Amino acid sequence: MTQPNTYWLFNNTVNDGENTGNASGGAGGSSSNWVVMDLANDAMAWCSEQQTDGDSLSGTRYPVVIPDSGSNEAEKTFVKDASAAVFDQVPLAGTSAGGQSGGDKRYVFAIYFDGATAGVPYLEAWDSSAHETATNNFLGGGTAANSSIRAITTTNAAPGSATWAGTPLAGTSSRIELDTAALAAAKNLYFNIKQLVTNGVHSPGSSTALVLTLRYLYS
Amino acid sequence: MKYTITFDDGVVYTSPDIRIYDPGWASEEGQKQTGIREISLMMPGGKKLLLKGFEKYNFFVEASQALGEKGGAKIESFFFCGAWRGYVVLWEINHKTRQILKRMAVDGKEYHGTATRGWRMGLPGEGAKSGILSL
Repeated sequence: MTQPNTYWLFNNTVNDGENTGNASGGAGGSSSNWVVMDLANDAMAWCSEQQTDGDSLSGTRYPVVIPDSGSNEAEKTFVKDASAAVFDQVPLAGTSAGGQSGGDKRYVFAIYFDGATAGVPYLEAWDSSAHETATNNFLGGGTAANSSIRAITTTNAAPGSATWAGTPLAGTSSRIELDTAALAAAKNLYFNIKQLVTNGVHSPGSSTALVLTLRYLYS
Repeated sequence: MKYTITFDDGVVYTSPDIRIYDPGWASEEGQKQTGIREISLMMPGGKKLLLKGFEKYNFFVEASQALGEKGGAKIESFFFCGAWRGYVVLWEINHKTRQILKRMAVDGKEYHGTATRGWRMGLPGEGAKSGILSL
């Protein structure tokens, strides 16, 4: 198994269908549509309900509001599409507590491997692409359980609940396995993800340096 | 950085530089004909990592790909593994720091509690040894 190529994609429709186009994306199952992410230039963005699909990246950015008490799930999830210079909405991201069409949905984000792996692939969150620390306030400030970025693997099944809790992502101490075993052949791995900000835990501000990271093995 | 496999029939295979090229673990000649007698890796400073006498062996590269990272996937670590009597010895060499870690795990749970693929036959019955030797 040589080093596989990996492709990150997202479904920008409200239709919960699999990525049948693999590395190329495009029209998928159940009238879904899969967009291949530009790993070097695109980014994910969690925004308030004021942000609209297709907004220009040079326009106003509406951040998630930290509530006076308790927690608040980001109302909308976007991919900042650098080539089109727009916010491209991911309507099925998150749970039913958000402000879009999230919930017990399976086909939201995909990572397509074009070959086998030697181990289970992981999805992680870090302070930067150096992968040395995961202590940013939005990653829990050193307490992984407090990370605002929460994800759930949906490769083999939907979450099972429209209000899935997910696993807080912070470095290698808290991350998700994207499948149950090493990949024997090319395959799409799926996950859903949300941001949950909590009063008293997360501080107003922004961090554009946080990264989501795929970790995998090959030989 | 190249690893060398000595097979039971005397065939010796030396990999390409595993920092740059396909490490070739899954495609070495003779892999299915005879067991592995030993695996070694020449290291900086005149030292050699040696694994011999294990029932089976594995090698893999840990890579990462970050969303927002220019330049594609990068290598994090190299793993050399030997299994014997239900346990696995893992030698992890961090690509960036050159730090070397030795760990033990139950066979089938060797990579953060999960199994790995690509195991190849050793020579059952021999005593397992692994360590870093000064040349």
